[in-house]
Amino acid sequence: MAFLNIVRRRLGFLVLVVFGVSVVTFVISHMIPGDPARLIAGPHASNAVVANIRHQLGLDLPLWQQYLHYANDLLHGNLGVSIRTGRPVAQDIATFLPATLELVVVALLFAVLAGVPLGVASAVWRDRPIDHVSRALAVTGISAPAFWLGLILIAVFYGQLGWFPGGGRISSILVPPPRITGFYLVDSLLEGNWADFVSSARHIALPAITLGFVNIGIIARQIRSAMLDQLQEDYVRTARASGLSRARVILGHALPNALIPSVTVLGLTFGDLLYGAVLTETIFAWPGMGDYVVASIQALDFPAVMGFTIVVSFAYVLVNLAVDLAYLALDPRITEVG
Amino acid sequence: MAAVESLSNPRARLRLDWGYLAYRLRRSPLTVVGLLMIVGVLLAVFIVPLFLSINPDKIDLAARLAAPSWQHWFGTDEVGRDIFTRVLYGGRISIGVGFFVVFVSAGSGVIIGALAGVIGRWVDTVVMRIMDVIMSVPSLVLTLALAAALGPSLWNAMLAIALVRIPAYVRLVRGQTLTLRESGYVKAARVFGANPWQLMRWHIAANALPPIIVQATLDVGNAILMASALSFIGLGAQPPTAEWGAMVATGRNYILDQWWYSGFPGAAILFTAVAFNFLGDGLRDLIDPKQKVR
Repeated sequence: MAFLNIVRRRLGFLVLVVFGVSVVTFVISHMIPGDPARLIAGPHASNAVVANIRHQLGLDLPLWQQYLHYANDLLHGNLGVSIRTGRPVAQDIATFLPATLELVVVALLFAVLAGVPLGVASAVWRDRPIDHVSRALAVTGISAPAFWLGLILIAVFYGQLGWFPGGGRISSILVPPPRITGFYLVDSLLEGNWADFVSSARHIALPAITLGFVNIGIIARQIRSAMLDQLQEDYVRTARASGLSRARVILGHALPNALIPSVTVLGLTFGDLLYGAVLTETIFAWPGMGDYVVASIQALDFPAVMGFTIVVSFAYVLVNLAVDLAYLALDPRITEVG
Repeated sequence: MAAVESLSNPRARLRLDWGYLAYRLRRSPLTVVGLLMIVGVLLAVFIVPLFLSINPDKIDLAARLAAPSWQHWFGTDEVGRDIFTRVLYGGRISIGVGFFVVFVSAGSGVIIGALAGVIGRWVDTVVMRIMDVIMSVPSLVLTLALAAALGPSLWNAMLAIALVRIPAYVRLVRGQTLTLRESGYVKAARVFGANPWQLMRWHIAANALPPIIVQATLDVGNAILMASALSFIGLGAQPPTAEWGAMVATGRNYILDQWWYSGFPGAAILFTAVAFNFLGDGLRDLIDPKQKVR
């Protein structure tokens, strides 16, 4: 029952957030200096033409009516038309979303695969060198400007060593795999196209490392703190006393329990990565939503920017909801999520 | 511990137990490192240029894109400007932005949060729901949208960053206020006729201060990072202004052959952000004795 109550309350909050975000983006759209109608009509259009476009866009209506139109459009999945590409924003975002998701998932995998062992090690060898390294890495991670880190990786691993390509999603001489999931790594395997898979993997490596690096330390610190809690528990001592090996107790008993409270951090990480992708994608010319939104910002394409804001905020809230629910499902003792 | 206790008595002057402080600092060397790094950066950025006779905007086409050398420690850019000098001058902008953003967001956040907590009732509910909504939008995305709407300039970027950071302080201070409001001595002060403003100034401000200082320290680093990111995508300081993010952005075109152009300004961002994060992290452990030194 508690579960359903929480779901209901969180869905209520979701509605509030979506409403709030729509108000925020609406307000921001109206703060834009300059007249969108003038922008569309071009610099040489007569005043009559501009007035006509204003009327077509509904810009001559009272503000609250404009908001109702806007909210109505949103509810129908209509995010407006991009000024830069001339296509509906929702369609553009659907085109670019899979590339971003693929990058985010690989980056998350990288951060978890590096962060969890590091966290376990620094809990087990607490206050030893490995612990200090993990702490320093955590601080460096959150302090490193991702755009700069990406450039350095390109300079070293593409420019100097030539190990990895310097940008893009797949080699330009290859034909991308047919769109099944939208993930090149998955689609190329489904198609059995080994060359495509290798090329995609080589292309995703540097951007995923850049994006995931920020979070290695955060995950490591969380795992460390949860592990320290677990290692003090009676069951750990009992297990050791009954003759189980240290490694067995740490990896088989303490770690699974330490992972449960860390699920929340994973969810937050996912959200971080989603918008961290904005900068990483620009550096690596990764054809995803981030690359799209930066190009839109530079072209003063506000429908596209606001559409992106709404989609990402919505995704962020949904991911957090999913994480909270997973948390509840994993640990039945919990009846309340902060 | 002693430093914290003296804070709970607002009239007492902050007395430091140096021996205890030294003991705590020995246990967290990174705090000291962070502090030293910050002092170093501030000296380099604000004091050293006073003794240098080089102009950050001085063009020397004969020395275009020169590699680091004794003459140009960090090399030169595409019109022969000395990158070392530009990094020093750029730091004035980047660090200035960091402090300004924190000053504005912490200042307004503290006032809003304390008022919400002291007044309570529907004011509290409305304020907190608004803050919840702002916080549920990923901060970089909201900052991007705001900065884009305001138009590309350093001033607008600062405003956008500051606005988005307010809710964190509101939440922090309001939480503290609610706890403190119920404590015996605050109730006593109210019985003796202190008005909300006095309560806020005497008791709540003094006790909520330590966590705010921690948050603010961490935020200086974050704000510097965020501002440089905005400059990098063209929404902050505009070239040819010497600003770290903008310099990395221009240097990007030369990254394969002239790594120093983007390399050093970016390293300066990293160094400064690490410094503030070390210090903030260490301060958090210092002022919160309940949280065991792990």
